[in-house]
Amino acid sequence: MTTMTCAEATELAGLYVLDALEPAERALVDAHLATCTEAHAEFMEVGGVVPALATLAEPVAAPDSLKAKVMADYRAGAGVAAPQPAPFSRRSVIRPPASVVQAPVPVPGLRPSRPSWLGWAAAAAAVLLLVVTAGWAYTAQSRADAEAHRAQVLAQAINIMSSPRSLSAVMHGAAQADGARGFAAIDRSGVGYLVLVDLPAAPAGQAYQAWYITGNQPTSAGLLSLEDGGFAVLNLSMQGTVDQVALTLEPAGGSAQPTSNPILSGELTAHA
Amino acid sequence: MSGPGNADAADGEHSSGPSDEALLERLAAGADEGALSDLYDRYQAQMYGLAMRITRDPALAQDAVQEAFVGVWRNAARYAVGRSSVRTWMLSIAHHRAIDIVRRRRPADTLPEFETADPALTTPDVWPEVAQILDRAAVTAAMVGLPRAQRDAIQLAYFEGLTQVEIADRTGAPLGTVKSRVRLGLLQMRRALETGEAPS
Repeated sequence: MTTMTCAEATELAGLYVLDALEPAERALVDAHLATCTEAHAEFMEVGGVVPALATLAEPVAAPDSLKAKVMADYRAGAGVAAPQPAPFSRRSVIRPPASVVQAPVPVPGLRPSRPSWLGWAAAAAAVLLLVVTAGWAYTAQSRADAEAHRAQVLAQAINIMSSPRSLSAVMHGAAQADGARGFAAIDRSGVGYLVLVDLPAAPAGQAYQAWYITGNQPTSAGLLSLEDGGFAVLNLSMQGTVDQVALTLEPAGGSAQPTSNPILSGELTAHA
Repeated sequence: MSGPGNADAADGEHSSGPSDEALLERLAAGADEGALSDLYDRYQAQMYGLAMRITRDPALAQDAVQEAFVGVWRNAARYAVGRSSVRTWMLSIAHHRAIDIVRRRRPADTLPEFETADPALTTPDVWPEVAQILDRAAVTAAMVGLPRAQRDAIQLAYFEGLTQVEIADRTGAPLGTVKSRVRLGLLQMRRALETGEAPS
């Protein structure tokens, strides 16, 4: 990595405090400041002017509706007590550990020699990356709570994936799925999650319903609720042997038995 | 740009009720909607005004302020007393978010994650008291007193979110010149604000 001299860093002080450096150059300045024994008082000198610049902007009263959004963000993400705590209630979400958000699927116990694990890990990594980065396209409110929510879901799903005798499935879509993808992770007691991303909105009057498939026999796993960005998570709780997890479009309210072909499905694979 | 003296300070004044620092402490300690609500009431106008100036779009400005408040409560525990006032800290977050939004609308240009890198938050502000009492007229005078090229470079960076390369492209100046203009301009502004005299 290229290093930077004190003089070079000092020359960039103004641009640095104004956030006007290219990322690579700023990284060099950060690295220099972190390791340099000089005080670099000039950064403080010019940095002290920045707050004054903010006063050049005329205060403008924000629309009343904005406060409601800000407070809603807070309730969703700051752990304010919820009336009905649920496993994935947005209100119950505390800020996720950074390692969960940033780590590319650190699966303890991963056995590189197992092709299914490798494939599974790659798929999960893709989903993880997609889930986390997709948040940037959202508005602030949805992004704030969605990031925390999704990270928590992923953390728990990954935890299941790494547990003994867990089951997992990479969900593959039919043409109707329009790029949707995801995975299911189920622990040995039959409890787990179905996590999907890029799922298109269900047509009017219809809803997505998940199914456990044993042989040719489907059993409802429940209806999905879509969040921003086509993200959906469903708590799974299955009994007995299940071969696949599938998703169909059903009339709103769901069906006792599937009335259409699956638009997403995945075969459950056992792991040691 | 001229304004009625210290309109922004008036917005942030709060002769009664808990201090900003106390409110932030409450936020850092745990869920406290009242603390966030009070901080919002105190600084929403300054933050929104700054975001409007940068984004020039009400919807984007609202997004910036909304994101900024997420940054405030998420990072309340990271606020370092003594490095800057709460007002300065919150405005720097609003600025960062607004700039980020403006840059996201330009291709291939994004800021690093707020949580991992934010010079405005990590650069010690040795002027917390000064920043509290500066009024717009004085800052405007200091800015207007700068050589045109320095003033333009600072404004392009701070209010339009341009990077040094973009400023160089926009103004036709070499990169080295842009660096110097911004640095010297800020230093001159500081001297002017300290002495109360326009830069010469």
